Amino acid sequence: MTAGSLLKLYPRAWRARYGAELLQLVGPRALSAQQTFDMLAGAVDAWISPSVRAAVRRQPSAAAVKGGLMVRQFLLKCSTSNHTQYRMTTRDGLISAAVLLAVSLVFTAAGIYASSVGYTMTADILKSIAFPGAVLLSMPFGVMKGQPRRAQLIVLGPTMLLIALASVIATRI
Amino acid sequence: MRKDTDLLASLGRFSEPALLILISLADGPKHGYAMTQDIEAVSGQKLGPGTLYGAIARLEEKEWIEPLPVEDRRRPYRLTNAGQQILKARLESLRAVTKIGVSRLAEG
Repeated sequence: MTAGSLLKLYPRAWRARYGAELLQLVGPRALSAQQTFDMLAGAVDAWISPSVRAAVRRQPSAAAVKGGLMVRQFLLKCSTSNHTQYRMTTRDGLISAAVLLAVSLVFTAAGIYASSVGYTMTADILKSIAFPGAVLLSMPFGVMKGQPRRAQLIVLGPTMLLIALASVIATRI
Repeated sequence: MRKDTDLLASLGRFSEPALLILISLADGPKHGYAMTQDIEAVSGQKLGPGTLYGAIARLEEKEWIEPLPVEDRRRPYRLTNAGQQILKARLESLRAVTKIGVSRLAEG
């Protein structure tokens, strides 16, 4: 049995992170019985060990730099947010809250101004996206702090667009 | 607060392979193949690929070692400052245990 065939038993993320290295280590030749058993035990360990799974999440492979996988990396990191690297400090929380308040006020004020000068629909859109937009824009200062800029853009950009689109549709109904 | 030696022991059955990896990386970065060769030369133990990468993943997760950019399709790893401290503490502990064992053998 070769390492390549046994590697299929490992989680995909593990293979993406360590697979090439492991194949480089053992080469294409058939494994000994001891090596086969060791790789089988390693596969079980890779599936069930929280620390191994955490290590794989934290060390993205070259392929994981691509957008879709970056979003998944972000979501996985959110699910392990007890890690010190992604722990939100009190200062981060305060800055995030300040950004949330400030953006809410700016959007609401802009909505009121638009309403006063006769742009009713624009005013409605601005007022309706004031809070969700502020929440989104505050995320890079809080819960998304430390994430790659590209990951932040991938998550926040389309969400912001969706909220804006939903507001436009809602004001036209 | 746990002692550094306890932290290495917390890796369970991977604590010994992890210690051997830390010792192997103590004199500079190495990739997986170089580590297994060095460990075999130093300790006589040949780590299997599953054990080696199980231990490497745990050491990375603890931030006691860190990966370097891939060189010629092989990724070297190096010891971090935290890894050095853990290794020093563990070796000091082993030295003390060895000293006691040797002295007891001499007395007996």
